[in-house]
Amino acid sequence: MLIFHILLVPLIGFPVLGLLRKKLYRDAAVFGAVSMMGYGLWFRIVNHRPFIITIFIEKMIETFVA
Amino acid sequence: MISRFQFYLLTINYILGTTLFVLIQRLVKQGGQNAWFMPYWAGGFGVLVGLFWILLFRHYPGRSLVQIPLDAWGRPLGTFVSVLYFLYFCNLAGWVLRNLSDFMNGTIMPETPKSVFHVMFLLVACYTVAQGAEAVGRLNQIITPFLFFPFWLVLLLATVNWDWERLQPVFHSDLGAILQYHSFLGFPYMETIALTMLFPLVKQGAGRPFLLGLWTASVSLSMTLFMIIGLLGVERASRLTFPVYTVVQEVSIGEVIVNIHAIISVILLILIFIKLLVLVYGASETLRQVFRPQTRWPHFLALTILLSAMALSIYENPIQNGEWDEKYTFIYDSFFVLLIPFLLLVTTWIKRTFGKRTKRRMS
Repeated sequence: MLIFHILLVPLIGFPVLGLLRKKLYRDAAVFGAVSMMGYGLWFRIVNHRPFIITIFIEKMIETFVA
Repeated sequence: MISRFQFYLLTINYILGTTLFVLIQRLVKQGGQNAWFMPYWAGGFGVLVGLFWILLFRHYPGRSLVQIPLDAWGRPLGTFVSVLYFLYFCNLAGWVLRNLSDFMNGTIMPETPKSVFHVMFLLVACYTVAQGAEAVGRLNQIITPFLFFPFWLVLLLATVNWDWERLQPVFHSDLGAILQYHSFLGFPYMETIALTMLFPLVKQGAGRPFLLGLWTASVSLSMTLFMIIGLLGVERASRLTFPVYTVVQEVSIGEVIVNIHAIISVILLILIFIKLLVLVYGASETLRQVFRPQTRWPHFLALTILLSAMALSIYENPIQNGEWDEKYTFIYDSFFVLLIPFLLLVTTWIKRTFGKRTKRRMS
């Protein structure tokens, strides 16, 4: 878990800080949003409880059909 | 800009991409001896859907799939729909990557962690996409002869095990079962919507090469299925995970031509890579066209983080993937491929009709 944070936090944090320093706020927001989605998914994977996307879609379809 | 021929080849390779890995076994199971017929009717459906998209794109010349909702429905709703398309492309890319790592773990490299394949393929794909659509088109054009000729050559070498009786009786089984297999319409044909992101970049129009590519890929798939059935038989082909790989693995002519399955592995990996390129291009262009960021590389890094995670989260195992595919692929793809484009087309027609009436009143 610690290695996961050590790897991903700088990988996301440094580009965000770099973009904010250059005052590219929109770029920072887009980068942050996309990479945080990945971070969330990775977090679940590392915790051995992956968020299975197809099961989520399946539930959504079943809800709409019902 | 890319040429029509480049786009034609890209369409073929995109469709063949993961299909040769994932679908051959399921098609043979469903269609039996007549499985080779399935790509024709599914390809016919693909061409009809393609014509429908072309109709939509004619109303918006020079605009891509994610720019059309912005024009038709305005910024807030258009952005929402474009983000949905972004997630759809990411989802498909995750699927492609996972299919690739499943294949690698199941055949050549059983011990290597899946993420290693995902990240390595993504890094190369992001680098290629960053060079632009021309690089993608040209790379595909250069590489296609090196895929086409070795693929058919190794399959022809495998014909030493050919038996015509495996294909008989022709059209004996229930043809209704073939037509009911609707997930084949979703994957791979409806997924070709990702190629529409390249439509504005094709010189002299993308419609004809796109439709021709769809049909050529269907013929290629049909021929491959025909050869698989003739070489392995229905019983065996429907039980193997990767029938194309097994066919070539068993080729042994004298003591000279043996172990040529490495060739088919490389071909399949490159085909998957091409499909991944188109999807990464679609996802990155969606971000660029909708949010208009000034930088590019940070977003490729974000995409790599997201897609590598999606590849591990897309399904639990190949069995669950197969079951999901049969039940939900068509419905899921229909939302992005039929429903949203249909609503866009209706909105466009209504807007044009009211626009004309208002102009007449004004004049």
